Amino acid sequence: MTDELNPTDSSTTAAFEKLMAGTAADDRYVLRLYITGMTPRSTEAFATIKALCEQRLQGRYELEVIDIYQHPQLAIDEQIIAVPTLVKLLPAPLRRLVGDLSNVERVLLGLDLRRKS
Amino acid sequence: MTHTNQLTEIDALRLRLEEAEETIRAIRSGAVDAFVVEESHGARVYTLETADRPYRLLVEEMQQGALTLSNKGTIAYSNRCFAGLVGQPSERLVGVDFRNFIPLDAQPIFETLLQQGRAGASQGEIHVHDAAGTLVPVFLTFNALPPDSGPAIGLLVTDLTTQRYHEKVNGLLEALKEADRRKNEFLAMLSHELRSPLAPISNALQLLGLLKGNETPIQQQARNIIERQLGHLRRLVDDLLEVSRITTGRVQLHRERISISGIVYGAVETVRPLLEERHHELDLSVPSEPIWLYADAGRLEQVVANLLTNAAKYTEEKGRIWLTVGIEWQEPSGEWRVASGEKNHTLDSSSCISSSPLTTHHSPLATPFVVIRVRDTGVGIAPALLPLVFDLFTQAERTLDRSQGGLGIGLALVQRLTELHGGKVEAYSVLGQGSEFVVRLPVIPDENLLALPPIIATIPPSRSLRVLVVDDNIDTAQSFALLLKASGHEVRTAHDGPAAMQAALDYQPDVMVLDIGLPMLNGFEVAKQIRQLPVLKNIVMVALTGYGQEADRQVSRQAGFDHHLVKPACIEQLQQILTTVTAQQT
Repeated sequence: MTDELNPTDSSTTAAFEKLMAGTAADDRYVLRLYITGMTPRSTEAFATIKALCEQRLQGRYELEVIDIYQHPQLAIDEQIIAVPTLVKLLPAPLRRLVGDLSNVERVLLGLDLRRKS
Repeated sequence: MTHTNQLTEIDALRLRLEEAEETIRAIRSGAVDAFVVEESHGARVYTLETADRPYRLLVEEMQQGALTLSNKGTIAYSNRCFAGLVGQPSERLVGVDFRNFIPLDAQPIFETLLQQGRAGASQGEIHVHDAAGTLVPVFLTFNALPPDSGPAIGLLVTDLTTQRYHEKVNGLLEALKEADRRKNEFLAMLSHELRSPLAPISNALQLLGLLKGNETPIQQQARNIIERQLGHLRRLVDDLLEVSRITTGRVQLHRERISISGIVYGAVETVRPLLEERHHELDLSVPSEPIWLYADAGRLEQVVANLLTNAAKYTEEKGRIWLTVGIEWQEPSGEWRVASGEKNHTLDSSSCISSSPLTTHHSPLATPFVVIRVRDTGVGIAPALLPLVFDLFTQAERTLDRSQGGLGIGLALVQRLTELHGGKVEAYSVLGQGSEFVVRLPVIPDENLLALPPIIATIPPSRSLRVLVVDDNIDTAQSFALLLKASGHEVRTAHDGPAAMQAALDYQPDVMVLDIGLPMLNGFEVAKQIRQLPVLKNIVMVALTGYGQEADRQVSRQAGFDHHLVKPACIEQLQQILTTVTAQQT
């Protein structure tokens, strides 16, 4: 399925289980949230993601909030088209979530914190 | 390319595709606030209504005028606040010259501010015409806006009316405070000045009293009148002095363990002449068990006496006054529990002195208070006046004659002295039916402490002493001299500093009574010099001054004085000192 299932891995079983669990307990998360100023959607998105991170990723995440008014070029570099957008830089693979970020299920899925059924 | 790598690539492509679909879905469903677009000169953000709304609301609803002006001063946008100030709908203001709202004489200032604003930023005060044409003071803040939105200037308009009002009120408040301070100073000085002549008058009166046997009836009557009126005058002056002390916070309580009953009886004795004169009946009820307070006996007696005097004054002749003392317990909830032994007065209760035991049901956490109630059947207090009764110089408009007139400071004193003791006073009244004043004071909770009643020493007649009386007020000096001579002492007088020094050396007195405010060489200086002369080392020096604060006493001790008497000193105080001097000498 992915390159995490490497046959050279000393413990294929362990790697497989790790994959099935959705995420490893020691994976470091680097997230970036792109918003516009002070819209209700921005504040809601931030609140949801912050709470989620504290709950699931305490002590092993970085969350950076970027206002595209202030730094439009950053958004272009990151290939952001519309905001709010949440970017998961680490762990790979890179993922972008656009639009309604107040939906916890959706964010969990997008961050690979829950396996797809 | 390995099989694994191909799989990874397909996976990544699938993710990108999902993202693209998601983005389109989000845009279609209106779940985004803005787009970032790369244009030839860089990135640019296009916001949707949802993103702009908060800013629009902020500017539209803020309580300051916010406008954009063209470089020429024409309004391009005005928020609700400024539109409200000038009384026009916002849309009608578009295209209007801002100068239309400014009086002619302020135009040059506006031009300067606008010009500086175009260049960067500027601020200044100006007036604008409001909806009614009234000139309103405003503070203008100009700042040039970024050129990409076309040449424009942002303008904030702050209405200064409220601020001006507060400034004015503060100014008035300061002026009032200053006036109040001056008034207090004046009162302090006035009462001080009024007191000085009282001492010699009082002394002269006592001298006349020595002639009691040889007086004609007219002389006796006249002397009695002077005596009564002098007493009245002294009380007024004392009250006045007291008020100025209290308002300037210079009251020192000499607190000790005292029983409330002694206070009450003392106060009743003080007011008895007035009660008798007005033929009032006093119904006195004091608990049989002693109630102990940590209080200044003299001050507390003043509180009760003032309440009684007040009741007597405002009750028609042959009225009835109740003075009830009891214990009430305040629960932590603030609720009051009344001792059940307390008598419940009714208007037809017989005139008597009664005492009752104190029993009450209260929680262990309750705090005991002694409660002094003074009730009368007098004219009562109008509801409008009731909240003001404890203010200085407040007096009811009396239907009674002003024979018992006062300064309107008795109740103010009651309140301030009660509060100084950690207590509280309240007034209740029904106009035409009488008033009730309730004083609550904290009780010493430890009931096991034994009280030692103060020992009052009887004064034996003194041996003849040589006394030098120094006062620049000739009447004061002479009246003291005459009184001391009448008690068998040898007396000389002097009226200024150098003369006092000379007289001390010539006469070598046992006791020297020295006024502090002497001409040329003041009392302190005289005392210091005398203390340096070996021949006069045994002289007993008594300071006579208008200042009785602890700090004043300390200064006179440092100057070498043995005793400190506050004017108007009565002859008894001086006699007492002379007696101790005699006792030490023998």
